Amino acid sequence: MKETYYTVFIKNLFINYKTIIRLSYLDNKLKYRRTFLGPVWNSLAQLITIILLSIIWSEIFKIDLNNYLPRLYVGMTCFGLVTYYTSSATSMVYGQYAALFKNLNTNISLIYGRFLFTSIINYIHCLPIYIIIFFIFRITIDFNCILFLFGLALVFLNGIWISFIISALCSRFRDLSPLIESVMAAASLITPILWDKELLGENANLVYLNPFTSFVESMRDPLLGYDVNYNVYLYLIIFLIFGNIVAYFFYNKKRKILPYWI
Amino acid sequence: MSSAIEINNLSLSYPIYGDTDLNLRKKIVNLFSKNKLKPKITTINALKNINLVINEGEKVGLIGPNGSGKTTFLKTIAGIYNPTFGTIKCKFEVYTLLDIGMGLNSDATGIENIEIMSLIRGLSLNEIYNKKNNIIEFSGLKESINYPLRTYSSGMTVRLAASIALESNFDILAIDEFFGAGDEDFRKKTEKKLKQMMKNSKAVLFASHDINLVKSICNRIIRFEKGEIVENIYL
Repeated sequence: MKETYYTVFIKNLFINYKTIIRLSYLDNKLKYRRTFLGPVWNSLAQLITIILLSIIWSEIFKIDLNNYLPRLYVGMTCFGLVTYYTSSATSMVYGQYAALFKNLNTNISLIYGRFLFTSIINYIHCLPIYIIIFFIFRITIDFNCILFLFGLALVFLNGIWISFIISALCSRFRDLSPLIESVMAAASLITPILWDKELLGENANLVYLNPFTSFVESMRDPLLGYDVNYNVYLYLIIFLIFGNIVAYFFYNKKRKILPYWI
Repeated sequence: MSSAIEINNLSLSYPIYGDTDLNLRKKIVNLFSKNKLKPKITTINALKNINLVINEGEKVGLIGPNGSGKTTFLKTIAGIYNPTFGTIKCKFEVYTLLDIGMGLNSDATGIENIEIMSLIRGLSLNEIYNKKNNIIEFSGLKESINYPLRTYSSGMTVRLAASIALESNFDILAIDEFFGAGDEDFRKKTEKKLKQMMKNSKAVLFASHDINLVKSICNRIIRFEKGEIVENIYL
């Protein structure tokens, strides 16, 4: 591997975008082969879970279901995108794509790009449900939806360095996989998705110590017409810069022995 | 004759991570222990001080017992492994035929697998479209090409994988024990195709245990033993 971190994870991802999109499309097509509902089951399964949760938790928190359900669905699907970059990345290198890493001197950005773009395809499956929910609950989309796209772009770009570091470390230390899955399960509860941060009163801003809060709010709040905390975009940009610096040094230091970790 | 590959003082050692090293739990416990444990990581010296020049037009056979370093040498030339010491200067891109069936998806049809594997190999969609019929014809799978791979016999899978692998353009070809795949008819077809490909290539590195096959294809033989080159014969 003679390429630098920049070449592999940034430049080549954009140069090879056609191949990456096609590979991700084929992966998704095969994922739903031999299913009855196809891609619908993914969105439907989430929706059923969230409807049930909404009915119960709106009662517990004494929140109007009309406000709670859209908030919960959009929040959970946004968090699902982040979970993909973490939990799914744990077995990417030593599991699904191990043979490719060990035997092919291919551009590894194709492998990572395929993984990353699949996350976007998975997320796009939720959009029809968004439209239905927005129609039923009369949520209007305003100019702030541009911030949703900006947030989505920042989440995706952060996903690049997150999935690289996690996939590499998990191929070396196999016990990191269950640890990360446990952390993400806990994170889904401590991130203000099921509950509103205003319940914390004057300590509401403490939620931003949890990085996942910024990931979720950057996409959810502008889409649902909530007051947008513009700081979350700044936090995501800071994560992006520092994350890429860490990934850069990690890749440069470990790239020669990465194949032996598989 | 200009050189295609120049190798200077190449050595490669790699660690084996497993039960003897410190896992995450032991590392954490070690942080708080008075008597610090040191990880015992076994290191394999797979290649030792190799100096070699492979010129354009050479077809180099790599022979040697199992574990002598042939596959590691091929992977290092291809850039999959990085040398611990020394340098490799490769004038052209290396095309590898190391694991014939890797990347195939059992739920995908033969045609879909052709597309997936070709995309992974770096071919564009246009190139795949142009080569698809040649691959299907060479494989001899006929209408089975439209069925999912999980319905194929092992021989059919090998036919598909070999056909995809052989329909590519390359300058330097690195092959590891590729021959011997499929039934006799297909083996003859593969051998003929490979020989044709080798004629058009800048250089070939072919690792095999079959000395007669190596002698019939190659014009130079390198013998490996315990990571070192012990013999270098021009035929």
